[in-house]
Amino acid sequence: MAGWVLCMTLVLAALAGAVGETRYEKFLRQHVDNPRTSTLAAHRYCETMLARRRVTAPGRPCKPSNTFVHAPAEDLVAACSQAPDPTTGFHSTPRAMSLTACRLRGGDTRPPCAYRARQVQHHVRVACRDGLPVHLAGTYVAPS
Amino acid sequence: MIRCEKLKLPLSSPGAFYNTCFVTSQTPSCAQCLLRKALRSCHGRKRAVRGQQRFPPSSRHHVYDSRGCVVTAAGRRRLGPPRSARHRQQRDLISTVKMELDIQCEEMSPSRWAELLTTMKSCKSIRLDDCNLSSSNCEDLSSIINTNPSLTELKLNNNELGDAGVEYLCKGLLTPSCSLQKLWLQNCNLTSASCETLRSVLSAQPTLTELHVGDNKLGTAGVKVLCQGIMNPSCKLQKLQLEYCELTADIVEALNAALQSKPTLKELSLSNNTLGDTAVKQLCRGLVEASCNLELLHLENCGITSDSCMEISAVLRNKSSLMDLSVGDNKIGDSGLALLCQGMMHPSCKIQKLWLWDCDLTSASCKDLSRLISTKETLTEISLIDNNLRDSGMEMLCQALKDPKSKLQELWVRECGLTTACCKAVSSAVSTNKHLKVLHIGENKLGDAGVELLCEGLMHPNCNIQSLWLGNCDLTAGCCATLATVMATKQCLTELDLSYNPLDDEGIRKICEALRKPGCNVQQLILYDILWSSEVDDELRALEESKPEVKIIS
Repeated sequence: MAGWVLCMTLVLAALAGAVGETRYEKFLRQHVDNPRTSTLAAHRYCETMLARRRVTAPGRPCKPSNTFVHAPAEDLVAACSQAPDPTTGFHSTPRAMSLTACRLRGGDTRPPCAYRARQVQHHVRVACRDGLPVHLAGTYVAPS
Repeated sequence: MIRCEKLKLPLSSPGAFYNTCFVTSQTPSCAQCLLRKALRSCHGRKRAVRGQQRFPPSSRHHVYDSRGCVVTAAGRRRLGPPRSARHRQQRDLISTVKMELDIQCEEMSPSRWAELLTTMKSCKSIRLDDCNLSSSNCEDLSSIINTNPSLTELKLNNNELGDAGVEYLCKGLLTPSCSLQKLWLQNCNLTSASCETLRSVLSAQPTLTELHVGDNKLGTAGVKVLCQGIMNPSCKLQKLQLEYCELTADIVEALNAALQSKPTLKELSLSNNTLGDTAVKQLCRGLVEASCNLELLHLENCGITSDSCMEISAVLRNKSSLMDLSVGDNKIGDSGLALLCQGMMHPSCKIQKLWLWDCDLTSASCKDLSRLISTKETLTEISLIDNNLRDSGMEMLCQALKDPKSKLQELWVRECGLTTACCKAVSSAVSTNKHLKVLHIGENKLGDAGVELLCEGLMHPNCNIQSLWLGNCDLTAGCCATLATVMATKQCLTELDLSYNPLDDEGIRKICEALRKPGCNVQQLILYDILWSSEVDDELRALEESKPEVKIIS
């Protein structure tokens, strides 16, 4: 009984209070979509995903750009165990990954947000904390 | 390690969102309790979660539904289904008092849908965006429309309703007691087959003033049928939105006929349909002849070139009612812009909002644009995003902004090839022009030096800038002290964007200091994609809690 009350209190407190999310969870929410969600209108992948992942929302300005990685989170976490770049401190994924780069089209930063989607195969650069990716620092084409 | 009893697997692999729920919590009993509730609303197939990952000790619960929607417990009303019956009651009470139902990205269980239907019976406005609704939900909605005469707004964007769903909806919409004013069915998987039913609604319901059906493959044939409905004398449509409807040049004849017959029509959007110059010219001629007092015309990405600009210019010259024109994402070029300006300079043109983003303009256009800005007193908002205006072009615009006749309130010059070199001129402009409220100048290599110059102008008592956007401007911690001074001094500044700048902990800390000052009136601080430490992360959260009027967006 006490456990139930504690639980309800915690749930209600969580509902009332601040958003509970670690930086790693936020990274996953904003940047990982695996397998790639199929959307009814293909040209609306970015609009749909950014809304579902609470990146865009009424009352929030449109995020100018955002990249979604279509690979398991484990692969991005694995990048954290690679040696970082000595100047930037960022870690790169050893393999190129399937990505969708969303870029805000020149309209408003007020919703509804309209995006252009570009599908690429790039390496991903991340910043890591405690062995987990917390920031997507960019993507690049592998030098051949 | 927390174990999910129902799924019988360890809760770990964080990447496996899709069709999987995962929950982490400090209190195991709470995690299970939450998971049970979350699973009740989860519809997707569950698949095994592989692998094990370490979670930082401060992990909190995070749940995704079968479509990748966040279903996390958060303070915001619109996120996920409420977890307790009491909270649900409270929330629905709130909606009943306001008579507005507004839900985004929530998959409905049958019991939840039944609850909502009860709420909807007395709602004035219903918005169910991306809620995985289908044609069967439309049957229920139809009876709601039937029995709720106070319903004026129905927004069902991003649900796969299909033609069958719209068929059901329209049954309700055709009842005489229905007084719906605004109908939004964007991206609902409609085809031309829906257009016959929509036509009958347009013909029968004089209360319907807004129809938004973009992002549906209606096609030219379908929209021709819609136009027949619009032509009906009972139709009093004011706003028509047909973006991304796979329309072609052939639609213009029918559109013109509809426009001729409809003096009530105020807003028309045809963006993202491959119309081409011939069709657009024909449309413009029709608009000039029509007796409608069109206020808004959006023709973004319609395949327009400078070839059409003479005719568009004629619309600008002849329709004093036209206040909002967008031709963004069309390669009109400097020559096209020159023609447009001819029409706009005419005294009968009362243009207020002008969108020319990604129009292939260069600094050569800035001469005409400057003349426009410094003479057209009705012009309040101009977007030139993603045109290679460069410093020389920007300097011309700044000169125009200093003219006392300029009443421009919003200037959007994001990604215009600007550098530090133009910042002196921008500074001078903002310290002279009292009307400018919103300045978007992100995605330009302004650098710390540029922003320092800009801040000089911002500090001037004449400057009334409320909203300043400096995302991705190559800024570092170096300029944050000056920005902090502006934030703490200029009471008019309520919104500041510093996204994508490597400000580092040092820079963010200086910004936080400014936010804490009583003189700082910034309500929205936008910090997308900036890397900072966990300590600074905590500091930002604490700041938000201690100053609830401040929203930090990242």
